[in-house]
Order: sequence, then C-alpha cells, then structure tokens
Amino acid sequence: MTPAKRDAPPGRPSKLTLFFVALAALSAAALWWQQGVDATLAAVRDAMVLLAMIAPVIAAALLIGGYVQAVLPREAVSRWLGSDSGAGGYLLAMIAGCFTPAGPFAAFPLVLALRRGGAPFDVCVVYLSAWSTLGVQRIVIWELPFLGHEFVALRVLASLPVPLLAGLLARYLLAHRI
Amino acid sequence: MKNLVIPVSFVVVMLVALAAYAHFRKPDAHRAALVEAGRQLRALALRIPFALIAAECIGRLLPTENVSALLGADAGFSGVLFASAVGAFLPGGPMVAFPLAIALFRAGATNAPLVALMTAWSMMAVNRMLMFEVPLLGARFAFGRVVVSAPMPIIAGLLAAQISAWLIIS
Repeated sequence: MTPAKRDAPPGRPSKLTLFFVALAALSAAALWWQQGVDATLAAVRDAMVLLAMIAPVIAAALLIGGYVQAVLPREAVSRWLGSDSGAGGYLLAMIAGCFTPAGPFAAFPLVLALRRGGAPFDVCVVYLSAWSTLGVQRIVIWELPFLGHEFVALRVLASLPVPLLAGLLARYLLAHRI
Repeated sequence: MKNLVIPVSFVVVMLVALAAYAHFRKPDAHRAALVEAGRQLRALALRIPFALIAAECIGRLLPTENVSALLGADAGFSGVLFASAVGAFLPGGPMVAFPLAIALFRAGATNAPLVALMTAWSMMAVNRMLMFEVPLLGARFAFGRVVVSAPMPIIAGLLAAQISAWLIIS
C-alpha cells in the first residue's frame, strides 16, 4: 500500500485549504460588492444548509473507503485482471474499476502492477476509464449529495459504454500501430 | 434541495456490509479503516465548508445569459463540445468540480453539457495525470490513454441528450 500522503504538517492548514479559504473570501466579497449584504448572507446560509446535509454522507463514505482499502486483496485483483484480455477481461476490468476507491493512491499502483504483470494497454484503459467515470465511491461521496440522483442516474447511464468504447479504441490503435 | 434518501441508504447498507465482512474475516481492518477515514476527514473538514461558500457565491455571480447560451438547452452539440473542453482542462479534484457543477446548474446549464463536463474532468484530470499517471506509468501510456479518452466526453454528452429526449417523450 502506498504510504499516506500528508499535504501539511498537523495543525497547519495546507495550501489547498488556504486556496479554498481565499476563493470563498474573494467570491463572497465580489457578491457583496455586486449584489449587497443580503445576497451574500443568503449564499453563506445556503452553503451551510448544504454542508449540514452532505456532511454525514461524506463521513460515512470516507469510512467505506477506509474499509475497502483495508479489506481489498490488491495482489489477487491484479492477478485476475491480467489473466484475460478478451471480453471477459474487459468486463472484469470494468467491475474492478467501479469498485476501486476514489483517490489516485489506490488505482495507479494497481495499474502499475497490472502493466508489470503483462496486462495489455487496452485492459488498463478499460480499468482506468471505469474507475474515473463510474467509480462507486466518488459517485456516492460527491456526486449524489451535490447533484442529486436524477442527474447521477442520467450520467451513469450515458457513461456505461464509455470504458468499453475507450478499450476498443485503444485495441484498434494498438493493432494498427498508430 | 437534493433528495438524500438514496445516498444515505446506500452508504448505510455498504458500510454495514463492509464492517460485518471485516468483523468476521479481517478484524484488524476496523482500525485501519478508522485511521484512513480520519486522515481524509481532517484534510476535508476545513476545505468543504469554504468550497461550498465559494460555489454558492460564484453561482450567484455567473452571468445567467452567458451560461445558458454556452451550456444551456439551446447550445446543442456545440454546448457538449465546449463543456468537454472546459472539463478536460479543469484543474483540481472533486472539491473544485462538484461545486462548479452546482454553480453552472444554478446559472442555467443543462444535463447533457454537464455530463460531458464531468466525464471530461474525471477522465482527463490534469493534476492527477501529471502527479500520478506520468511518473508511474510513463508519458507514452498517459498520452495513449488521453488520445483514446478524448472522444468519450462528447459521446457521453450526446448519449445523455438522447436519453433525456427519450425520457421526456415517453
């Protein structure tokens, strides 16, 4: 497992946190200047309401991510994935991609292991495309609470063929040595 | 406001199932899961409130006419194309992308361009590519993956438009 990456020493906010603080301050100031204090307060209040709604989901989903990382047998998964490069391999890669935790710490080391184990480029493309467009953890933590289930259902439906299409395109490019 | 029944029940079921599996098969996973979740929560706890405030304010600042012209119902194919390009070059993680999507929704963007934008952002993710993919898998791999991924946001956006149209007709 990749060691945990710290982006700041404990007790000190990271650069990314400071970026969001600055972005919030700047946009609130601009809104105040353009539309007045009432609009700004309404925006902050709406943000806090949204926060109160999504905070429990995010906390629970982070715990899910922790369990998946702790329970997932990574070596076994990369052995399964590398063993079949036909249609079954595509399907397996797609399912594995959907259930890999959202952060890049889990997915890319797995692809590296796959490549070293001889998995073809197109299978890796299927896996990474499924992970990025259909990853269950990201959908649950971020997309459902922020964008609602109707949008998510539409996006998932529209993205279902994407990993397979990307894989087939990769296979075509490989076969024609482009 | 979004309906949270589905996310909450999904999260609860998954958490119970994983905790039960871990309890019987791998008891030390409890501690590891808690430590990992706590580490991520510490990083997010400060960022999310400020990201949400920024998104709410930016959503009210965006000129509604421009957003609906570029990403609205009448933008059609060019809206999907434009959204794919924006998504492909959008830096940062979900903390940037999802609040931006809310802001665009509020300002009049429709489903199909937003599907294209989210697909492009999630597949390309410039930062992730430079920080993880190129160092770990090499520039050739990353370039090849970007080439085969490039048409995908457009395909997803057009499919989303088609699915929306079917659902409205039926």
